[in-house]
Amino acid sequence: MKLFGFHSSRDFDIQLLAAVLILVCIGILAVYSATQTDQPGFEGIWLKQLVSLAIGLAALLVAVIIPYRYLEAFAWPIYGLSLVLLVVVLLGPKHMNTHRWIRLGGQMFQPSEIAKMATIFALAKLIYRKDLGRAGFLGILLPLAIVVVPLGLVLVEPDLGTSLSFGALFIAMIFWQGYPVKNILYLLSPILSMVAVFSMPSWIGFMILLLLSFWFFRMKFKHASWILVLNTVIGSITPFLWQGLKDYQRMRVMIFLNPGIDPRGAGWHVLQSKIAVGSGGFWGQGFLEGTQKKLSFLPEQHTDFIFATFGEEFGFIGCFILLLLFFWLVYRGIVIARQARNRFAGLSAVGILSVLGYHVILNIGMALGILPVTGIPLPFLSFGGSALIINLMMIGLLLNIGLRRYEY
Amino acid sequence: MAQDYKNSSRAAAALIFWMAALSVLLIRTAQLQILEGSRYKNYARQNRVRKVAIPAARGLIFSRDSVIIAESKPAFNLVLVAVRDWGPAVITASRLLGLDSSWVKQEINSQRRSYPKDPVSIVRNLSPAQVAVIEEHSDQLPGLRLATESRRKAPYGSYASHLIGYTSELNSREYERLRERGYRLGDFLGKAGLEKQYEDLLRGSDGCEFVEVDAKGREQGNIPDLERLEPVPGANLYLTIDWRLQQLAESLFVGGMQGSAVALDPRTGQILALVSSPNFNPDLFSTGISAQDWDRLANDPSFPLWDRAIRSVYPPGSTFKVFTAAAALDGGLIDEKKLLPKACHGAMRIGNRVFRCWKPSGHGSLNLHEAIVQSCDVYFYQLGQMLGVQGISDLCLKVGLGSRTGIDLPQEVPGLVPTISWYEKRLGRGSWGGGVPANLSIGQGELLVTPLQLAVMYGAVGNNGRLFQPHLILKTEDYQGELLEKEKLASHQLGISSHTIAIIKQALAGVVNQPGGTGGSARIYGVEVAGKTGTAQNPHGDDHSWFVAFAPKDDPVISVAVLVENAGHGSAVAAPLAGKLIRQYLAQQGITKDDNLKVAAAP
Repeated sequence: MKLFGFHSSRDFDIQLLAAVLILVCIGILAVYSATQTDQPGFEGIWLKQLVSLAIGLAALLVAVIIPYRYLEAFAWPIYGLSLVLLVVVLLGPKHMNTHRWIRLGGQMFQPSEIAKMATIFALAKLIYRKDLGRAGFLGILLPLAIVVVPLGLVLVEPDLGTSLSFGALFIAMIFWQGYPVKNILYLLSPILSMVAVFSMPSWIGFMILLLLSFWFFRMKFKHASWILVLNTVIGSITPFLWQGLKDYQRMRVMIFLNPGIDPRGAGWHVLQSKIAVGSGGFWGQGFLEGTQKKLSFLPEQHTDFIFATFGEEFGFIGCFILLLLFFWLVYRGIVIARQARNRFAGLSAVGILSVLGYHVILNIGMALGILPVTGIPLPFLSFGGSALIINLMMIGLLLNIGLRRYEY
Repeated sequence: MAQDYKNSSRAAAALIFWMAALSVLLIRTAQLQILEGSRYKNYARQNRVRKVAIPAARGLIFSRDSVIIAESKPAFNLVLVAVRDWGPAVITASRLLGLDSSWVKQEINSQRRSYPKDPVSIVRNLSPAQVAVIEEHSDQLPGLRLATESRRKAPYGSYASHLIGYTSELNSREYERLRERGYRLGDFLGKAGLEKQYEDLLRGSDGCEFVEVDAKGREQGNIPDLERLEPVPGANLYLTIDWRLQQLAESLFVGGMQGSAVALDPRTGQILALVSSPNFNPDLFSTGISAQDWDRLANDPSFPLWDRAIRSVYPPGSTFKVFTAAAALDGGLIDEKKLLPKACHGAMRIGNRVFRCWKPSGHGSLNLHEAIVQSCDVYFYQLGQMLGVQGISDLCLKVGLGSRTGIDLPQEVPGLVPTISWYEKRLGRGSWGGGVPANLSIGQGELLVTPLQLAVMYGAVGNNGRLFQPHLILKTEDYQGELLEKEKLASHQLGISSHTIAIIKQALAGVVNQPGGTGGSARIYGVEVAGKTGTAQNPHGDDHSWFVAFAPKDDPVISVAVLVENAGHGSAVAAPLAGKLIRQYLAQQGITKDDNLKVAAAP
């Protein structure tokens, strides 16, 4: 059968689809459970999610059918449009104190969700013919710029968690395209120096390590000096930027890095989340039986902290299965990316997987109290229409790439 | 294929990275759910953990002589913390405290609707007897607890109320704005004066502790491995205010006198006393102001909440003549010896209007010195005509009239210096005549200043033209006494030549010390006081009485502006008040002898 331009229905990755379908079912159950509380105002939220799911599955189907070559052809216009949307959202009215949402016909959606996908295609198109293995630091500047623009726009919304997902897809995609690992590490080094500079011994230690690494990697003097200058400059201006922040802004950064210092706000959320997960024990409290969520002690229990609700009710065994499903999903994705003969398609798949993986790790890590608290939803589980639809669309694209894996 | 090979190794690396990340999450999940599961189950059972805020004490405010002028006292509130089944306990509590339980429930419900998870203060500021009753019956009051909070107390009542300001419970609008900075419903917020200006410093940061509660919401004790976070009290402010001088200044406004007194040290800009009369008691706000009290304060025709020192504007009257004189001297229109063409016969005709001098019999022919000493209006009408509106407004704007002084208090107003374009906008081009500059030259008409501005300006004249920005903070310390910040001095030159300033200072000294000078009642034996009276016509009623001065003339340590509303001549009312302030301060500084003070103060 060569109906939509693919070779055989055997190429359809049924395992990937199955993992996703199980995840969305769990998601509906989790949202249903999370909104059964003593607090009014949550009735029927799971039905809303069900509607989004239906739309999302339709989007998935569309994404499977349309050949990805069109995405390649339209990558730049899509990217441009998404940037326009990111600017529009900044000019629009605030909602919950941020500029994250655009209201469209009674429906709220986040332009940053679209920008993530658009950036993936734009970046893939830019680099898929290049051998980044031989690209130096200058060779990576243009790809970096493609990512930094939407990242910056999302950062001022402000939405730190989502803006960092652009960083994640960038690192993953240039890695896939053969960019040397040591160069990636050097690209990340300014971030380390920003952190290290807050204590003199760690700053000195960091600089010594940096110098040693030049020797170890036999860096050219020209490159090494650039990296050194960059790190020194960024390291030395950081304290001044830090001083320039207002007290409460500094506090917000510190709380982001360590919620424990704000036991009334973020720390309270993390504590309650840990209690919910921990009280699930091995077997869980049972579906709809979670006491933490029932009494609304859990914050954002149907969105960002849905993992805590799930963990409370389904215990370790449930969490294990959930993590296994996420593992399997990305594993099948990596297989698809590896087998794709078309490098644009393969790179796009890697971008999609990195965004999904980033969300999973950050969200669950936050609910478990080992990563900073950011407003990042758990793919397929958290309540939220636009995220669910986009995520299913991305899965559709993965399936699409899998179907056409033998095309060049 | 080489490409494929590379792909495989990168794919393997990606897969390993992904597995590693998920493994970390899985291990952490196992740690929480299997290793520590029973402990967390314990916490979760019936929601055993409750977070209780420990409010931080607000910082103290000291005068420069270390008198506490704003302090904090603990108060007890009855707070509802349970999220469900609170009905019976609230009914019991209402009965114990003698409150209408249906009203209390209604209050709780209305607050619960907006902020469902926040604790609700049911009754605030309980009396010791009420606290005892609640404590006695605590086992019948599950879900309720006694909470302490820190309330502002003004040990000297209404003294210095305008500069200290007041704190009051934040309203729901302020809560929306401030909640992400850690404010909670029921918190106190500085709403005026220094309390508002230095809110961030004074507030401190609240602590919290975690307590275990039973199924009915009764507290069982602390949870051992959740550490209590101690509150950090707010910073202490040390003011430049001299409390003895402030008290004296407050006491001068007796018998319903309305007005303001400002004293400052011209060498630094430190405010020594700042009075606005009538005043109010800030404690009314910190204990939750009653509707009657609020109506009384807000509808009082004498506006006790209004800080006249920085927010009321008045025509400066004759105190302004020194600026007219400075403009004319610096502009080279006159010198100190020159006699003006027209002698004073008690009035002067400009256009078709007659402008009168305050002295109907006239001053005759005067030089500048004598014109200031005797405050001759006719002399200054002529200067005004020479300078024009432009000449007068230029000097005003140059020395800083018409702009805020920058004192560290909220809501200071800039006053008004009318310029040519201002008149043209209001009166139309060319439709106003030569009378306008004449009127301005004696500080009447549209020109408006605050008492603080005049004290600062005269201080700068006394300080040979260097103006220090007025400020109230000497230093700030954290609650352990560590210095946070020292006072900030900022200054600039007035832009008046030192020759002109010398002439003006000489004349101002003459106003007080020369026979026939209008400021004689501020005279002090052994010290040369320099000042100027003012009687400002006021379209709304009787004239305002002004006196502005600095002393000693050659090296002033204090500059004072006193304004008494509707009190008539400056020489009769404001000048003696200012004299008392200067006298006491000079005695305190050891510049005059104490016994001299006693002699002078005797009636």
